Amino acid sequence: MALVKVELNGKRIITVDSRTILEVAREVGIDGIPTLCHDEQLEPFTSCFLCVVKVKGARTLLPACSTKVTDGMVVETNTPEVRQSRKAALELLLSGHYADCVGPCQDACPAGVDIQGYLALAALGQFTEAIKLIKNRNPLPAICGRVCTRPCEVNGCRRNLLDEPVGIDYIKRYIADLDLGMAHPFRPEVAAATGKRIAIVGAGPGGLACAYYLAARGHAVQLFEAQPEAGGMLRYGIPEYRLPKEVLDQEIGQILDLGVKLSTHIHLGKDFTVSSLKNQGFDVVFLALGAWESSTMRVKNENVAGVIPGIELLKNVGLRRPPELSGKVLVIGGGNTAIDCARTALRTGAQEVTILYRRTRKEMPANALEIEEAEREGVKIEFLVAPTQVISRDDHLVALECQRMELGAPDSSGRRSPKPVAGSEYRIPCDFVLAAIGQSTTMGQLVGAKVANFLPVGETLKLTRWETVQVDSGTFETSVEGVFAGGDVVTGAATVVEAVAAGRKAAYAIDRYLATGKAEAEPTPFISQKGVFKKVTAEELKSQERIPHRHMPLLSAADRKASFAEVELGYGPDDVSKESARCLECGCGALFDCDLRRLASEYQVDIKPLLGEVKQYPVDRSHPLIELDPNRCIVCGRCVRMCSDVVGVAAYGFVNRGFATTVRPALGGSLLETECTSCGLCIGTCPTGAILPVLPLSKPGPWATTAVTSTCHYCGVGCELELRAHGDTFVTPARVERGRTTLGNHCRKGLFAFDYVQAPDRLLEARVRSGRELGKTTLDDAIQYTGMRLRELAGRVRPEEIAVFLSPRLTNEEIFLAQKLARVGLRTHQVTSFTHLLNPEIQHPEVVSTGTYRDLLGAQAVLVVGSELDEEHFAVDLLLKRAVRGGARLVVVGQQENRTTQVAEAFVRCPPGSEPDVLLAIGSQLKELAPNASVDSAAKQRVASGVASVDAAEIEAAARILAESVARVLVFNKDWRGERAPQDETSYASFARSLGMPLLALREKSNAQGLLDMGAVPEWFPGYQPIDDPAAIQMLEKEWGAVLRDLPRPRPDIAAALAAKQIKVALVLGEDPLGNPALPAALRGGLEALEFLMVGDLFMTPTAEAAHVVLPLSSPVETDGTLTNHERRLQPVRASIPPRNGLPNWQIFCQLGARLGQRFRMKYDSVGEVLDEIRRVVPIYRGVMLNGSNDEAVWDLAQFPLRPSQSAPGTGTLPGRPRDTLAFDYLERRWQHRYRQLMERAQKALAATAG
Amino acid sequence: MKILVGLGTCGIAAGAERTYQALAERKAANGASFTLAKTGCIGMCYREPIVEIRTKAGRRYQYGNMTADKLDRLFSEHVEAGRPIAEWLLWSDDGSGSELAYTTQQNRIVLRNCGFIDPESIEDYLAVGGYQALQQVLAQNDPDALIAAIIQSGLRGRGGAGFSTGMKWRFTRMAKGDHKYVICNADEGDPGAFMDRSVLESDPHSVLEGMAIAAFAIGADTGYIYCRAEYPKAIERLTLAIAQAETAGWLGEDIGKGGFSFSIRLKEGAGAFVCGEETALIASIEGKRGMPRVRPPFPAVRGLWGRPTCINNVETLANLPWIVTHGAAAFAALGTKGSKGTKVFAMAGKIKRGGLVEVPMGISIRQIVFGVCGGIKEDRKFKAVQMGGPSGGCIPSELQDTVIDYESITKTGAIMGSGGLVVMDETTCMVDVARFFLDFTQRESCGKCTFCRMGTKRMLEILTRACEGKSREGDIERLEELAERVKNGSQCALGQTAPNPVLTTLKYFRSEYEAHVNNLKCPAHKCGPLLTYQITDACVGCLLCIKACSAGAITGERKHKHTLDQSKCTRCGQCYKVCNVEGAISVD
Repeated sequence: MALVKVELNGKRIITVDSRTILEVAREVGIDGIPTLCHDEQLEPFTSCFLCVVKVKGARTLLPACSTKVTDGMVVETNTPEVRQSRKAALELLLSGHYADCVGPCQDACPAGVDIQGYLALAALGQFTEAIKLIKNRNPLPAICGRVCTRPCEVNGCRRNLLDEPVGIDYIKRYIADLDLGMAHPFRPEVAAATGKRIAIVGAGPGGLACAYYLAARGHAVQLFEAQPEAGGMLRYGIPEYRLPKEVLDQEIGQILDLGVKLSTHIHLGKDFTVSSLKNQGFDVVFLALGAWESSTMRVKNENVAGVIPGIELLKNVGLRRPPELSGKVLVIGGGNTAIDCARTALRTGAQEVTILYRRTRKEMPANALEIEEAEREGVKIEFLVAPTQVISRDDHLVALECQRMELGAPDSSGRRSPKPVAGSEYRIPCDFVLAAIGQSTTMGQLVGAKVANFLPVGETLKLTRWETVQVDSGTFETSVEGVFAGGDVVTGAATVVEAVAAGRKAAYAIDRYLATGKAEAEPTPFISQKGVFKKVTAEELKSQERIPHRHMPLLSAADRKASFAEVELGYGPDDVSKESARCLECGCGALFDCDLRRLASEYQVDIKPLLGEVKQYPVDRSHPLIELDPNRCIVCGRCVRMCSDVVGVAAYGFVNRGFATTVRPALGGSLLETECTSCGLCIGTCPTGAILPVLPLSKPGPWATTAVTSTCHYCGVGCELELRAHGDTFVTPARVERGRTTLGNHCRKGLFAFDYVQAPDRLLEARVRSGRELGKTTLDDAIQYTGMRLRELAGRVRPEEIAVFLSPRLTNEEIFLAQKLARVGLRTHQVTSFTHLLNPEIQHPEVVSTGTYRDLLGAQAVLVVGSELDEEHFAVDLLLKRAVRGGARLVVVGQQENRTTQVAEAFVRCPPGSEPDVLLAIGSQLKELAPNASVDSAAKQRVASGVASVDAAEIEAAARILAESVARVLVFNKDWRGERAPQDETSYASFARSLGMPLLALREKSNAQGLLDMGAVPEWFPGYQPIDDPAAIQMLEKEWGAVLRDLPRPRPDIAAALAAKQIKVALVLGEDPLGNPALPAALRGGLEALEFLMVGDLFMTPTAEAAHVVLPLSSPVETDGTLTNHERRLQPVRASIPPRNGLPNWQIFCQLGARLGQRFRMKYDSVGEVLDEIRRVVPIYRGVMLNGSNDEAVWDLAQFPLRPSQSAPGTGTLPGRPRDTLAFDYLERRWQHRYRQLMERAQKALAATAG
Repeated sequence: MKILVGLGTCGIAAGAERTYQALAERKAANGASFTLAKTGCIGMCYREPIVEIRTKAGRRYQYGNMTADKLDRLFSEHVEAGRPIAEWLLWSDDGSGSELAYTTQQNRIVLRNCGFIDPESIEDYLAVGGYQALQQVLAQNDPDALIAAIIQSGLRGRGGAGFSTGMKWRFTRMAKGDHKYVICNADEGDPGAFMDRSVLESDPHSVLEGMAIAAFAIGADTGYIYCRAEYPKAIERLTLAIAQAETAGWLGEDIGKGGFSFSIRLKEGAGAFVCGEETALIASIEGKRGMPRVRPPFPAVRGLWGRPTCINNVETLANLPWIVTHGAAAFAALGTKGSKGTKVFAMAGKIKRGGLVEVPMGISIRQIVFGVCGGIKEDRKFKAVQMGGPSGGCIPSELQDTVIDYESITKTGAIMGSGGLVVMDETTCMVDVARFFLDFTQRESCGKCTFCRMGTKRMLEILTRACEGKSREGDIERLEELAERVKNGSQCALGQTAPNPVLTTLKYFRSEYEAHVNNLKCPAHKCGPLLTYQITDACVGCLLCIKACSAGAITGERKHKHTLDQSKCTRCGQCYKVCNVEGAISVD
């Protein structure tokens, strides 16, 4: 290893030659080198070739992940050549990526609404989040929910291949209607005013959408509308029975509420011009005039009375002056307007309505459902008929001459064009003809010289040959500076949702224009679509269940005649939940965190020229926690290497060669058939959605989530986790690849054991006992009641009869506050934990880790004793294996083989309880090998008999390895209960001390260390300050403003006191002693005999069932605070969602304190203030930095002057207790139960299909 | 008198075992009027089975196409009457025979014993001086001097890359390790290349001796032969040879009583082309999937089981005993400045004499094709040679005076490779050739690197489209771009060289690509879907083509010129094949 000088993007760096370019770049903050196949945990593999960089003098681009730096190396990481190469690699990868990023529904939606996302939210009942998601892309969902042409369902939904499309639009309408009915409907956040002014001409769907998004961005928007009311074609083109004006008014009202101004009855070209708007100081003009001119039939004699443009009819109805129709009415056309005209005609006096359409039903552009409803109402449709002339008498219509048509070859739109059949003319007598052929704009009349000063001097507004406005397709800019246009005025008559999309996209471009002076198109991230490769067939969906579509409840046909009442009555809640469950979830679960997609978007890939063969694989859903979709796999091999190199399991392997190479569970079967331990590290490392967690949500989104980095609350390892939430819904924990504590490792609990957060049986309301019943009440009332009872009890119960029990999974702040509540509020020192009562060996707090993971990774030899690392501390096991890969030699002393012993150089198998003797035997060998190591010679005799059955050669091998190594670490599980004698850990500690080895004393509960540190021990104040230490008393009395010197001494053995029914009052926070079948009967009796028991927990545990008051606690994903792991590292816990129970625990404890008269002694404005106090009053925590660097976050052993505890040995020691029943924690038991059930069920299902 | 039968795989395939059997029966019937012996591959694959009559005086007569039915005449005329049969004689060291040119222009070092000794007999090997080189090396007991001599000889790795063998040894010798390994790369994967197989089948001991010499030089104690399982005969003879050598004390503990121990294990490969790449080969021996890894560290530093490992190819190893016994200078005297010694080529394609030839470095392509191998079949026009197998490239006839030498070959865009040499004539379509080789490499890619796995596939699709008349706009440019990216963005030689057949054909025959892609024509009239068939006035109206046409595109009556409906024609070419009248059907 040598120091080298390197130049990276012009930056000069001195580093060492053992580092790769990628490592050096990341160290100095050049983070732009992409990679798909590299993971910090893995050796460089170099297969994706995305990390290539330009090295001066090298013939080709070099992969940064595996190229080591050399002296004088000059590297450029982002040249055009480099980017081209990365782009090419991405294009190749994606050309074989047969997968959908989003569902075809979203892809088909012109507005690009995240349909799968809101359907999932609807399925979960999260309607507020759902409306928020919809309005992100479409501000008129109640309107669109009624009138949309539903390309999402018709062309998008893949259920079309299976049965019927999901009722997407109906669900949207339900969500929107629900929101409209709220006292406080959803309102987007409005940015601070920018001072920019925008005039929008036309208050139809395009103008309204544009106004909504511009107003939300803080711009001042004014709508100019020619008609008496806003809404455009929504109001004047769509009949009431389809879109009630009330709904229209409500959604328009929501937009105006954002501060949008509306002027009506004001005509462009008459009352104002583009140039006058500019003169009034509008920065931007957006033209959204629509297409209001009805096209003529272009037949002879059509200007006679009785021939009415269809749009005229609808408009007049909208203006509440419907024409009097009667007799027989013919409607010409096949679009939605024709259907609307026909159905409106029926409602305005027509006796008989017939639609004439020149093609067949198949070609009709109108919505199929609308056609069906019209026919149900009695409208007749004649196909392959076109008008040729109007027959009139006295200038009044009497009949229409028509001609039969036949279909010819397909035209440019792909539809077969109609051809007249010669000589087939015939006449249809009629009273009215409604022409619904099409609409056009009035722009032609406005521009040119027809309106004076229409545009600012020197400007021309370019039109297309259809007289629509010509715009840039991405930015919606017209040929006139500062003038944009969108909607029908640009496209010609089109759909509502297209106008909405145009309005939103234009708003984005306008906003950028106003901010930067340059309009920018709304970004379009890369979307992979199966349909690009080949047509998706029903074959792909064959494993899916057919579920009937929930039909829309309709007004009966009889009630419709002569009434404009809304025909579609809307879904009910049951319809919504059933229908949203029908969604096939075609979109990818990794949509929002897929590296492949992110890079594809960044590098603007285009796979079309490379399209060729793609491979299609079945999805493996056999594993209950992990879903494999090999179609999304890019063969980076990260999972393969993670599983074999890091975890040592090798559940995955490469299969086949060449283009057919893919990654499959080893031996090509299902993941369930491998040795998979469900750690889920493959999920965390997969750069695409090929390996995904099965989320415990009925519909898992995906949604763009918010993430906080927190610490796992299961064991004392302290793995960092990213907690992801959408709104108030907790979605999933995820791996932190560059985690500092365990370097991106975690176990299966870290990834999958968070289902309890959203569990339906979660305790969210308080309970108060009244007689035999536990009645529900509010948290406030329960706290108040508890305070009252405790004050009342304090009058007659002595402090020695009160005890507080705390879970080792509470945060430092929670434990600190709870013990303060006990000592200050309840005036008792009796604060402890059932974990301590039943496991007195934990009462050896002087045996504490003296080393950290860093020592482990830097060790030459590691001695593991009395632990099952791969089961209990999986992430430490992985760190250990990493150390072994790096050359460390492993010695294991234990009872049975496991995955850890597989990598051990020496495995000393010994009978239960003889581990200390084995250590001593090793020590005595070491004395010969390394004369400095001292061994207690008096123990030799005992040792010899203790290790009689142990293989002497293994002991000798172990001793030799230790003797040959300098950097050595001893690892043992401090909480490893069972056959071990309590004094064992002191003997391990003295062994380590005598050999100068750092010690890693592993803990099983996330905050077992903090529980002791924070003073949940009767004999100690926080920080192991004896309760009789005058200095400590003085300091705390001053700090807390309370008298502590006269607190009675705690009972020497609280377990004994409880068993003897000498405890009358107990608060149990987060523990479930009664749920533990191994709880000694005497303690059970003591708990059941309590005069008052308050339990705080996440679930109605058996202990809670026995309580007088039950408080719902907040879970570790709903709270801020800190944990102290077994390295003595202070780690942050961060809230990912608001507390589902209503209050974070620290506030509950403070409020309890307040009820006990300690309002001011337990007053904190934030949880951070509690930590500040801890830093002041807990000596060992002085100077510990949270979020500091690794070293700083570990509290200093030198500040740990521990005096021997005065407690007598506990009476709870129970010989031969089975270990697993001692997991004193509801969460853990719950998870184990669920995991076992899931795996069993999956195994059974797999066996059934295999047989 | 001794009668030898060539019993290499090529001979066996041509029926040599039946010939041998017939000879054995004759010998049993007639008593011991001659000695019957097996030998290995003689190299004239185009004339197998081959029988050699070796007189007491040592004169050799080789006969070709010696199927069992010809033995009567051979016995009556040559064995008994002593009159060599001139019309069958391939070659004799008396200077007669039809194929004299084929043998005399060769210079056999690697193949020195092939076809001469019995590969299943260590005595035969010892009789021609076998294991003397090893003995000599052990006696000198100076590995550094040995390495220096090999460097001085100029021997370069014959596996393809051409790295100095001595240098490789030196690096391995210098690397620290408690064990070191020698691996013989016998995973000969190039389609059409079989010189390694021939050596293993015909002279296995020379490879074992070469390995032992290499092991002594670098300080290895264990050797592996990684041989593809598709070579059963080679594996059989190697297994036998190893056992013989162990019994004779040329392998095993304390060889030559000087303290040098060396044992050899045989590992059968499962037929993955990429396992010929050294890091993939090592992974395969270790029981892992054969996937190349990043280099450095090179196997010389971190190889098999993480220890220093020297990997040499069969042909390289077979050279070693000769170099040791004849001296580095003798070897260095052959060849050009940068390329010394000889090279074995497997000659295939449109050539009159196809088989194995060993020629001195520095000989020109023209000399091999026309001199040694007798020119192009049916005297068609010589178009190109494809050298180096799927990793190699096409050298056009204009460059036929290029000399065989690592640098000169590389300059053309092809590579020396392991020695495959395919000769092409005017009827060969170069786009089709590129497609053929790329189809092989893309199938054999290990699938690791993006560009190799996906890029070669997309390149192949472009070539396939071109051959089927379905090209898209810009396909040639796309092909060129992909070829460059695959070449530069792959970790091992498989990917780095896979585009060579495409790049060289693009370089020398670009017009053929343009014809395919832009004009939908195949100038060599090879790519069926691009051809147009037309019935000319020469048609005599025989109805044959009408009967042959399954598409019903040809109509007509007897003795009247037929007509072909182009809209119905599927371009299958059946009409052209069945037509007996010259020029009656034209192809374009």
